[in-house]
Amino acid sequence: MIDLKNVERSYKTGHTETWVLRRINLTIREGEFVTIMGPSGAGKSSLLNALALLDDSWTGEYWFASTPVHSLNRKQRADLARQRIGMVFQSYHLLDDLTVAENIDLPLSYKNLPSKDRGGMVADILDRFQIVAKKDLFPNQLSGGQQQLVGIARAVVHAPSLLLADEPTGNLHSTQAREIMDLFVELNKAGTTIVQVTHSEENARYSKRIIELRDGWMTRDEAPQPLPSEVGAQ
Amino acid sequence: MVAVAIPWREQLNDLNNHQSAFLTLVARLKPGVTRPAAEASLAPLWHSLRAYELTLYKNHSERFKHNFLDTSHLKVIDDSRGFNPDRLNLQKPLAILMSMAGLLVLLCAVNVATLLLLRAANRAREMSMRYALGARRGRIISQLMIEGALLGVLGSVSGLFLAPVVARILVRIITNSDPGAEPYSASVDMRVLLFTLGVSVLATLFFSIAPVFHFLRPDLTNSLRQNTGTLSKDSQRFRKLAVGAQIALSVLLIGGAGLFVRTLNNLRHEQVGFRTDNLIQFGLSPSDSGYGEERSVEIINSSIAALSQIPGVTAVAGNNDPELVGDSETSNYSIQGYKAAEDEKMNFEEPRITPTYFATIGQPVLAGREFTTADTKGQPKVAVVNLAFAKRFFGTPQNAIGRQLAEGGGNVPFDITIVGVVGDTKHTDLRTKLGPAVYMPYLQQKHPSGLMIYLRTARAPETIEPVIRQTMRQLDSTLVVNDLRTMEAQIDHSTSDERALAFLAIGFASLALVLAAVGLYGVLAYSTEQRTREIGVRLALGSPRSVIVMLVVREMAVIAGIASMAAVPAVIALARLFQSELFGVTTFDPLTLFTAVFLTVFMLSIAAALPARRAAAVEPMQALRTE
Repeated sequence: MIDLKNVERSYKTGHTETWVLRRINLTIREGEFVTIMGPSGAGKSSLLNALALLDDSWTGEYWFASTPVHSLNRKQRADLARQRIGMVFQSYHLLDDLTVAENIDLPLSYKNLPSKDRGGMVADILDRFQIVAKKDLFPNQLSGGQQQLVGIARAVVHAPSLLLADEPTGNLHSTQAREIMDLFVELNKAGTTIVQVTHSEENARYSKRIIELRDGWMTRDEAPQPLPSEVGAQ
Repeated sequence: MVAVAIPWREQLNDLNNHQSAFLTLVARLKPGVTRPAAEASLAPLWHSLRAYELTLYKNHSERFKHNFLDTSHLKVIDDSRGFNPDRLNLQKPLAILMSMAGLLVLLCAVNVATLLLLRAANRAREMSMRYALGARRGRIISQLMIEGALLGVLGSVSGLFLAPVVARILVRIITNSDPGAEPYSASVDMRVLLFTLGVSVLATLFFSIAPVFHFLRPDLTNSLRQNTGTLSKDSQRFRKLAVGAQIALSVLLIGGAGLFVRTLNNLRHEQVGFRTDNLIQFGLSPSDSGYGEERSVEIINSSIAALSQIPGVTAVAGNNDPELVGDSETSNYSIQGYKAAEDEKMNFEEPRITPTYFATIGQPVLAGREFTTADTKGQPKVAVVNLAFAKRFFGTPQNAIGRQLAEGGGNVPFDITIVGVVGDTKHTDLRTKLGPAVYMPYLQQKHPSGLMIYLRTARAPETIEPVIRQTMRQLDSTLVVNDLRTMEAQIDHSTSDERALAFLAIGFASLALVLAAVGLYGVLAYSTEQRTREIGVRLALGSPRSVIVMLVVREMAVIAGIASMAAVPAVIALARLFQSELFGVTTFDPLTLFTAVFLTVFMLSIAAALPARRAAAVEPMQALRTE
């Protein structure tokens, strides 16, 4: 689904050029659940932003389901992202003056769908995530976990092929974090390709592949190591 | 012992002429005597004087006697601040200007209140911290009021420093006077100081209170967390109201300015009834140079003859009741075969003109002829009437020719023959059409005086002005050429009040529009900045940038639309209130209303463009990192 070839990204400040991504060559197949890890400043978020088509300033080749993203202009990239990609943020980034249902409806409103269809899609997602009772509440009336749930619902309401999550459990406590990760596994089983950025080893184990970045270089690309308890159980 | 001081311009003859009314009498009341008491005690004296004057009118009607004697009374007015007719004339225009200035101050105060409130929103955490650390409400309020007061003091002091300079420049521009010769004082005295202080205090209180209300009952939990990406509802409501109010005030001021500008334009293009191009005028009064009235006619005739010889001058004539200078010379007439109703006014404008006057100023002769040199003293009395006179009393101009008039009422001989009818003109000013008028030959005047001399030129009048002065100097170096100017300049002069009003109204309206635009820009810029995260989220979720721009400006566009429409009835009400100052403009003037709304919307679009552009340029990656 995703094919990156020699993707690089740098920031110029004055006379200094800082490289945040160095010769990234990466292939992610459809249906994979991939974790990107690394220390702070390794380039994780930069890679995620490039995958999400939020960042235009990288060089190299980026193929998204055989579409050459590197050849598309800004508008075409935005159209592609709108159709095929969903994003989950660490800080949820829900809009405070919109209800839960309205927040979930937001990405649908940009797709020129009839409001009847949109209503149906929102209702399905609310039901699927078991947050129907909360549909008229505002974000500040929800707990952190519930807000992140709504964030994920918003990201998947338009059935994207690719779900990107930037530290999705960073602001949650462990119980909530587990619930969120279980949800990701379910979505992945249903066919959504998921790429998450996380610091948490535990969260990384929910995925099937870990990519490690250090100083912008890809240093590791392998299956997650099982916990000693899991090894014993095996 | 009372010494009689005679004005240097007038001769004793005017003091003996019971028809001459040129003096204003000034007196000092005895201690304890009030103005009404003085007026009452002077009434019998006035009545007896008028009774004596009446005996000097050989022929008069009962109605004239009633008007002259019975209903006439002496008015005693307060002269402690000097007597100046300009003050009466300028009362309404000044009231209008003061209202506009007041609206502008209000707009400023609302503008500053809005900006202070925007700043207050940013200080929510700071103030909440202060409360959380134990600050009393009074302490917070006094801090905010002092901050507002400092702004107010700074603004007021700066304004007071600039005011005399700006006022002097304005007076000079409006009155077209030379530096140092301004007719009105622009100095800052104690009254101006106290008034400014009062207005400043009120305005400062108004805009200082806005942030105080914001912090009276803060939501400490949320403010300290300040985990909000969008604005609070209360702040939004006030900002919308404030921006709406400023826009409405702008439309009101622009509408007002538009009405005055159109009035000025209508006046300037008003058809006066005679040709105003290539026409020069100047005042010539032989008595100013010490000549008696017995020599006036001779001097006037010599002057006209000399001026006619100037190359480029095609015609010269004179009129003792000049056009468009605000003067009026009236007299009572009777018409043979016409019985006036009891309350019918038979006083008409009575200009005394020299031969070929109508040809000189280009006033059309509709029937008969105009005066010639044969129409002089000792010859049959003749008159020329205007169209209004002919229509009113005879039906048509042709019917008026040959009809007889008499000066005065009662048993008077009808010894004046109408020999011509001329077109109607504007006379006293550009607004008022001259009613029925009777033109009489200057050469047949009993007490000839000075005239306004009119010259029609074949080339640009300005080139002939120096020659006129030289010609008159050569004729008689003691003769004074007064107020030499073209008719176009005279028309400009006659519209100086309207021009001043329009000029100042435009100034106020422009300031208002700039303030409203600045206010809107500030609100939108702040809104865009506060909504950066929201904008980033929307862009990350697939929103087109055009939708983001619409999001940012739509709300303000709706407010601007509502405010503009709400202001339209106010403009109409303003027009009704100041109807007397307008000319040729209806209270519901579509052009003015449309222009006011259009200009406001245009300016606001420019003000909104930059924040909208910034909103469209938000990079979602950067925006989401901002949090």
